[in-house]
Amino acid sequence: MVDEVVEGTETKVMTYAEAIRDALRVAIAEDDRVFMMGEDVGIYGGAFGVTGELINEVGTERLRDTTISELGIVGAGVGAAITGMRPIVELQFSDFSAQAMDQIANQAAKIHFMLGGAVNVPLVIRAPGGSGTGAAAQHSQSLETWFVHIPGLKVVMPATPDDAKGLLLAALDDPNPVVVLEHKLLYKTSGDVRVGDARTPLGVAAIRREGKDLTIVATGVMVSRAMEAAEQLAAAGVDATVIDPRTLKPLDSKTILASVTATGRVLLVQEAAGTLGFMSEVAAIIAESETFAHLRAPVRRLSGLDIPIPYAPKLERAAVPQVEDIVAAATALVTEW
Amino acid sequence: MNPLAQDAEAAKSVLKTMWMIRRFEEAVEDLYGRGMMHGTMHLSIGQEAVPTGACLALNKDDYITSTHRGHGHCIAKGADIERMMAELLAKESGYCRGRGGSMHIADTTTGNLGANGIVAGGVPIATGAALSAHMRGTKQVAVCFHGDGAMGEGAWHEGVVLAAMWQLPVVFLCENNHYGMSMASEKAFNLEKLSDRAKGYGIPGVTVDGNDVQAVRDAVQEAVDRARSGGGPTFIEALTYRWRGHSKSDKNLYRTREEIEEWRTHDPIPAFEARVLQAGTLTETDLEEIRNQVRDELRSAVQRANAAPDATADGLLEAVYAS
Amino acid sequence: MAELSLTMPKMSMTMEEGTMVAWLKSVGDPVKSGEPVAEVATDKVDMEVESPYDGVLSRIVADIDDVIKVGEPIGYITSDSDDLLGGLFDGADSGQTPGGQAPAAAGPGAAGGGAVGDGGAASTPGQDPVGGDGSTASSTASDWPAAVPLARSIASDRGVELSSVAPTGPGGIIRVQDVESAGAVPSRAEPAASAQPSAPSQPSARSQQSAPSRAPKAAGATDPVAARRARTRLLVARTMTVSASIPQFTAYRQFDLSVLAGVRKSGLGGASWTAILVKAQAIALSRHPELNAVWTEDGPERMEEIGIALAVDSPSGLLAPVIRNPQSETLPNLSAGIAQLVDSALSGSITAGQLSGGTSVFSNLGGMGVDHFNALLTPPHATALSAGSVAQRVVATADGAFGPRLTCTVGLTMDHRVADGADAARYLQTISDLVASPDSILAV
Ligand SMILES: Cc1ncc(C[n+]2csc(CCOP(=O)(O)OP(=O)(O)O)c2C)c(N)n1
Ligand SMILES: [Mg+2]
Repeated sequence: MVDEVVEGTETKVMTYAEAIRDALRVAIAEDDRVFMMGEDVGIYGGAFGVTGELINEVGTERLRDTTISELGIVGAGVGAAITGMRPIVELQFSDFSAQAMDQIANQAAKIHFMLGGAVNVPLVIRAPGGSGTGAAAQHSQSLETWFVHIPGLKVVMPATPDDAKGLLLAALDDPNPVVVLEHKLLYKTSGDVRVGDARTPLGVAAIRREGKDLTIVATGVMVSRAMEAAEQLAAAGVDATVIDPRTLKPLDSKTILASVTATGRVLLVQEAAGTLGFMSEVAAIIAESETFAHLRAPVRRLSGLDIPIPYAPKLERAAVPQVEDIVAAATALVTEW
Repeated sequence: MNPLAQDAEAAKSVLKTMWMIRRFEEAVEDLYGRGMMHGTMHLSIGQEAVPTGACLALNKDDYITSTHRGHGHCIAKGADIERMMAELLAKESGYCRGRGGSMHIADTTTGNLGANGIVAGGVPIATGAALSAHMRGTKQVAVCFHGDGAMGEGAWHEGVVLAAMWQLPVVFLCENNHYGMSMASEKAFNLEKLSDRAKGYGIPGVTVDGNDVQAVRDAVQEAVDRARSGGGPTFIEALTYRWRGHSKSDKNLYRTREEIEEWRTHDPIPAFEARVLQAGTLTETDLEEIRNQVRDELRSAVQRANAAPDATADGLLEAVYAS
Repeated sequence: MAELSLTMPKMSMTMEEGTMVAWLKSVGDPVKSGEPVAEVATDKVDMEVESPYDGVLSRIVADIDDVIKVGEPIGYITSDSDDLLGGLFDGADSGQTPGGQAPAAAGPGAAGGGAVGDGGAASTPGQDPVGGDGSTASSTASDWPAAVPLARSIASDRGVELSSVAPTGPGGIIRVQDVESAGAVPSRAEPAASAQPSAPSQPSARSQQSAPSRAPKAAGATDPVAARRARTRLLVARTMTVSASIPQFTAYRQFDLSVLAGVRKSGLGGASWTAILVKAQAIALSRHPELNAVWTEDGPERMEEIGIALAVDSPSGLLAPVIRNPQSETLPNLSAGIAQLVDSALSGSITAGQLSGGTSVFSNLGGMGVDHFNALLTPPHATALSAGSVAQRVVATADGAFGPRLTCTVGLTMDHRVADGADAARYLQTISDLVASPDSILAV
């Protein structure tokens, strides 16, 4: 568990977007095979400013502006990956993975297996998801379940600047296709980021906070909401553990189960729609484990409503869990049970 | 074809529409700047002649599919600006009850099948609407507005391929505003004219001055007439320019000030006004009156829209499926 | 020239057979490679079958409307062509064609569990955790009180009947607090132990999976014997707490073992007193089959087999390996068998199987100087026998004289729901008779 940046490591305060840029800078410098392509990643600096002025440092060969052709660029990434490169593809919004889904699901995910292990697909796909910007139904989805459900893909959801960098670098090391789901609302958040070549291993959850009364498992932007909720809960005498799985696949279920065994209560928080969401899988893992016998309360999920994300600000807020929803659900778990 | 500038009624109508698009978007920009508007917005200021000219060639029951930059299409096809504004202001009285916003406005009563947040998302849909018109035996035509950038998408290709194979009554109208976000269309496509591509699909293709409302109307009229009489699809490239950034976050790093300034001298609205004056169809007083009328209409629409009740979260869960 | 087969081709992913629609060529007609020779109907559409070879259609074996499996011949073509894969899949080995055999590897359930669960979510594919032993057949919603899992396991730890607990949770569900305040429970020194999930019947099997963070402190993570001892302690506590809710009584009787003592060294090859008494106990049970029983909701239920659970004080705590049907063993065998079981218990190598099947208990504290004591029942047994020390004691004999006799006081504990005091007395009488004239004990 790398909960906090280890003491003694040199760090710098950066935004989440800057941390990703820093990872790109490090990776492009240290490995000739690494390049990134995507729509408006060059002079524009990325739709969310992730690449910024990186084009001036690394040039158009390693940071390639593309046409608006998601299927094409993911496919080109697959082709480059199986022939010796380490491509990163940026999808401007994770919603547009729908355009690219053939190359993601039928090609990238399966090639290694289908070819009997003869080739690897070391492809990284970065894509921002999530609501909260008023971009409405086609630009606000949380689609992690799509990818988690496809064998052959690894999926990470960095929730902090340091993980945004560390997980991206680890994803680049991995010989498999890794989908990195960033969050639009997090790009401008800042925090300590390890300087230089700092990786966050895939498959290791972070315990963001430890408390005895209940375990909150949260992903993406819900991690910071859960942390804020935990502070409020603490003021009210409820002591919550907050776990950020970071990697959704492969999932560090051990860390989650150990915590739930200790607290006996679990609240699973995700932005994505509830039905068959990632947290349904976490709930099932708990139900199937010995941790089940330690439950003092039913497993609770707090998810986005099963609706497309609406445009109106009030409606958009109502569609996904907010800090106060987490506080209320956690309080109910602890007081009712 | 009849010169629009020489027909008082037509000229008035053209000017009213172009001014309304311009004023509407200026109002949106203002409201956004005041923090009264949420989300993102894509303005088509400078491009008004394309939707205005195109929709002049259409009947009310003809279809259009629109884009993320769709206010102009919506207005030109005859939508109610108060309901559009209400949508952008997240009001229950908006076209989408506040659920869709700028990128998803549709007005099916005027044949507008919807703006689209997905680049090229409307292309196969237009083909489908044309297929439906064909199968239902109506004489309806579909016009598919899309950007130059959309021509990089697989959906564009597939939609055009189907329409060409079945010779469907659809017009693919590319508003080539020279950029898909930051990607210059010259750079993106190895073509002198985007209309050169039509040949590869076996359909007619033309390029017109998209800032000349007459030229757009004429090209679309020809294509629509052909489509209506069973002659199949047409591709039209209308050359124009977007004055504003792609969206509010655009820093315009990919183009120069000078380029923007140069294009501003080709403003389609004064150009048409000049022609009307020159033809003696309308007087400067008439033009002033049109501008004032549009201004007043717009102001009262904004006022009424803003006074309407906010969209409510009631019934959101039931809103997902039709019953 | 060879005669090559023209087979029913697979023309869609789902096609398994085809129906002959028409022959486009007649026998004797020349055919070219790629030329349609027949039409067949597949599950989707009608399709043409093309000749794979240049040659002559020599035979037709499938008639119109025949349904032919994919890969089976529909006709033959004589041809000079090389039949590349000809004969490869004929005969006995044809079952080896791709797709013909399912891999014997772990099913998707197992693979899935491993991939996601990381071992933590020990899933057991193919096993029905509830209905597996049929025990739920008689359970209905009403006799299965709603409770959170931890409340359920605490209740079972403490022998609290969930149906007697007043629920205060939402929806009338029993919470942990409800069980904890249900009273009548000796308070624990180690509350965390209540969370220990290990199933006591298989302590060693479950120990690795028990949650590390909540293992009882007494277990001392580094000492496996101590850990096992702690778990055994819990098991005993749990079992005896349940026992405490059973109406039970103990009847004592002193046995004169003088006769047996006479033959023990000589005739019995030094059989242990335990073996002798266990055999006597088993014979007595066979003669009082109504006592070889368990109490169920429908009343006492007799057990076919006799199993005597022998209480052993092992390093890992009290264990009770079961001796099956000792009444039909020779004493030397029984004696040896008991010695072996006790060894296993002491060395910790006892298996779960050796701990099951008991119908009564034999507990002997005589060796430790105890004169007499009452054993508590081990549910669901109806009886338990406790033996005090075998020693020379001064007793009054029938003729009124006093004299030293080798005696042992035995207690018989009885589930009063199953039988009464007089039944206990009769059972003890039988044992008394057996030790007084030990023919049956000595017999095979
Ligand atoms: C499938 C998809 N990819 C990317 C985007 C992001 N995006 C929105 S508009 C736009 C540029 C579109 O260019 P163009 O088609 O020329 O239309 P314009 O904006 O110039 O009107 C991009 C890249 C999107 N909305 N949908
Ligand atoms: Mg464009």
